[in-house]
Amino acid sequence: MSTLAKTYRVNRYTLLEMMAVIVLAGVLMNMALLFYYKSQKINSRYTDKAFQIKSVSAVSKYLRSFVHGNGAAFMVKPDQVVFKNGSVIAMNNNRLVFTAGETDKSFALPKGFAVTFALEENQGEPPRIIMNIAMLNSKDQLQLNKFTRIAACVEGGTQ
Amino acid sequence: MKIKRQLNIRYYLMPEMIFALGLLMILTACFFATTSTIQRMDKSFTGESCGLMVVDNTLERLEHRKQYNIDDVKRIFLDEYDKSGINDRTKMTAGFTPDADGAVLAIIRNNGKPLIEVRIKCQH
Repeated sequence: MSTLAKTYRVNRYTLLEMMAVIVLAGVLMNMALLFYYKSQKINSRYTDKAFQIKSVSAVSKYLRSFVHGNGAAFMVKPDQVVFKNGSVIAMNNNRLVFTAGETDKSFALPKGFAVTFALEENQGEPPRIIMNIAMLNSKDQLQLNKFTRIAACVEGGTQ
Repeated sequence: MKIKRQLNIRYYLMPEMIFALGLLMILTACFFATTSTIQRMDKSFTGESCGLMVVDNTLERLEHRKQYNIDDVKRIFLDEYDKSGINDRTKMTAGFTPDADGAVLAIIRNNGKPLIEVRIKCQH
């Protein structure tokens, strides 16, 4: 017998052993994939979360100064706010656009987030524009339990 | 004989197999424990971010009132707390404590320590 044949014989496995090894390899590969998927998901969510916190911080300051500077709101819809002087705040392709006269300023929102507007009024208080930055679910619907609320008081009331 | 011996070397003992499986299970448990901790931290950070916005929105509303007393401060603070939805997501609570000059607004973590405290001067 040659050396090669001997070596071949040494490495021979039974069918049962081979099947066990295949199953174990399958389990390990599935676990590795699961770990990778979960880690990626957490990583992606944290990136979005960091972006959201940064966006909220930047947008809240700008929104308030914009609302205070433009006076009374003429119309408040869930996707846009129109002021009496013609200035507009609106959502455009995942961007929050502030238009005042000829100038536009836009903020990119984190992926999977959207903005809604509302007007709130209480007796004895000036009306306020509420902007909710909310997460979208897999069907692109707003998740109403996951939002950040920003209030900006309107100076001069509404029409 | 030599071939047989070499084959014997490749066998594993039952304790070794049990040890290997145990190690695998410990590693899996560690992974899921870490994932769960990260998710809890995620919830906590979200709650903290919302808690800060509650106080920020309260101050914005108070700033635009000509005058306010302690009842207005309390009503606005609790209104913002309710509308922020923080109550549904975390165990953080709103703390309102009147003092000599005004009131202290606080968002209290579930361990009893304040996340943020703001003292506001107002009339009683």
